[in-house]
Amino acid sequence: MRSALNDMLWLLPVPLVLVVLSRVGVLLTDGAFVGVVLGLALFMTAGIWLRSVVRRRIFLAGALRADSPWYRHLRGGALMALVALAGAIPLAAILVVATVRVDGPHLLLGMVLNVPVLVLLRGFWSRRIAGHAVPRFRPMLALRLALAVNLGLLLLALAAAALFRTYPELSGLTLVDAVLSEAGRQQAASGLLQGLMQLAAAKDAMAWWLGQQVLPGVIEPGLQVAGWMVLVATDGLVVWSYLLICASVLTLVHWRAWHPGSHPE
Amino acid sequence: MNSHAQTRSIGGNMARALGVVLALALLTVLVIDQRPWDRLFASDSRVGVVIQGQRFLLAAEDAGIVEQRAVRQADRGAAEAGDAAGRLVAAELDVLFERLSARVPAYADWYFSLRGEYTRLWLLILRWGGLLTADPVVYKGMELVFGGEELAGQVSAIEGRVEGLLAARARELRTAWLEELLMVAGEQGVEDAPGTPSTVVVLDDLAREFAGHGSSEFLTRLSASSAGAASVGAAAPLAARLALRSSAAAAGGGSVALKGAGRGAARAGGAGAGALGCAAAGPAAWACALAVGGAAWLATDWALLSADEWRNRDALIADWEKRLALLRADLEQSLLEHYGQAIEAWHEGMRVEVERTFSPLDSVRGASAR
Repeated sequence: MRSALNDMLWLLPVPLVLVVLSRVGVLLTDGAFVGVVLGLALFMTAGIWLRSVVRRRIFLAGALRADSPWYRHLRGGALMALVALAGAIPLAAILVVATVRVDGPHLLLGMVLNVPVLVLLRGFWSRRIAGHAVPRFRPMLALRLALAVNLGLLLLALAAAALFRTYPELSGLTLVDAVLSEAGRQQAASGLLQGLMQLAAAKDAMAWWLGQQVLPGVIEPGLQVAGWMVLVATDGLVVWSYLLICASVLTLVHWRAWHPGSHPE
Repeated sequence: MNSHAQTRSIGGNMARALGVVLALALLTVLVIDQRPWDRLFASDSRVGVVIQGQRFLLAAEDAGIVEQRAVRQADRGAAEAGDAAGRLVAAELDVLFERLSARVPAYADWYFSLRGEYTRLWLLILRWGGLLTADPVVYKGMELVFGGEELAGQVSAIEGRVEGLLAARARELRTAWLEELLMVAGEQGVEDAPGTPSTVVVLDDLAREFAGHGSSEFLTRLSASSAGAASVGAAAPLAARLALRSSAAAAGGGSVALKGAGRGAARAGGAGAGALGCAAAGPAAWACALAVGGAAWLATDWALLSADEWRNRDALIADWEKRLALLRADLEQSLLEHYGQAIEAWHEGMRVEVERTFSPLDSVRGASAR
């Protein structure tokens, strides 16, 4: 109980930082924007790296003898961390752009209310797999399961909220006009951030435009579905980036307890 | 000792749970409520004005000037649009009714011709026989005066031209308003100045309202307004009223033509007198009587018609001119009512949009006044 409450308290700064970022993001300079993205990416890397290490150790434990020198070479180190960082940078950029562009409370509210959900899910899976998982891998396995379920739940909640949102009326415009109109509305002090926001706005405009072409024969239904799938996929990346940061916080808080150790047991 | 530790543990958990709940509540408020952020980041009391991607920073009182000028532009634009519509409707109806008036003499020619006379007789016989319901003579007159033109079609064409004029006026008004706005902003504001204004007003919706939401939507609003049906749709009933008036005039034919019975007696008398002269024709007397009587009938009729025309042609023409003038007045009133309502709706839309757009400034102005 106490551990769960402590985890929640540790996680609460994550949505707080994102809420603040959503309000002040457009005022960031180029340097500040890059700094925020790199900071978040480095933070994310901790969680990604530890989960990769666990995955690698599970493989090595099953594939190699305990006294093999390759166990030490392949256990995961700086190279794995660099690969994790390379994956984390675009995810962090997507999260920052989505947070700055947020035009309704749904996404941020979902992130805030998700804090206890993630902790409770991790506790639930930790108890469920207690009788099955190897003790030194159990915390990260429970976290991985909790993240997967949480991703689905959060996406479902955002999809339900999206049904009640109002969208710009683009059905009377050409696709090019719709994209240019939405891209032109993006304003930010940082040119780099503004460019990324325009790209994101163009993607949204394309999806909304495709979704609003309701007249039969104007556009293939498959393209409409593809348009909405683009939105769902983008939302999925944003939510996944957020969950990775939360996972990194928990990983750093419990680093000693959750690290599988350097040597095979 | 254990009990004391347990109590402390429960107390610690309660404090943590309370902290989590309070933090979640605070974050929820920060997400949902914009006002704390506005107060936190407002670096000055200036107002941000965003129009078509351009951002200006104005003092709150200067933003008030922009609002007042927008209201004035809306009032002026609506009044000018109403005047312009009235002038165009009057000019268009002048042209249409001059064309109709020019055909009235042709109607009089037909009315006082033998062909017209016998056509009328034939049509009246058909009506008495129940084969025609409406007054055929009047409708024949309308057919000649309108020259085959469909009045509703003519009115529809006029409406198209007036609506085009109004859409152009709306575009001009939007341009004038934007120029004035940019002038005020250029004089008193700072374009793309750094800083976070306490309030931002976005004028793009207002610009669209000024332009009547674009030509197509403006025209849709005009034709879809409740008064819309009273224009083109009213043309046919108004023309029917013209027929009723003319029917009344025709029924009182004594004023414009000789009474039918009296004219029939005169024709019969002329025919009888001519036929009497054939008595000496012997066996061919009946044929002679028919030919001479018929010719005498026609000659008498022609003479009577000529006399009738000489006496009443001007009265007939004046009567139709009067009816056309009344029809024109009715149509003009109907069209002006239609456009008056549409322009009033447009004007009201602009006023409401100005109020809606600038209403966030009330609190700023109140704060600066304090």
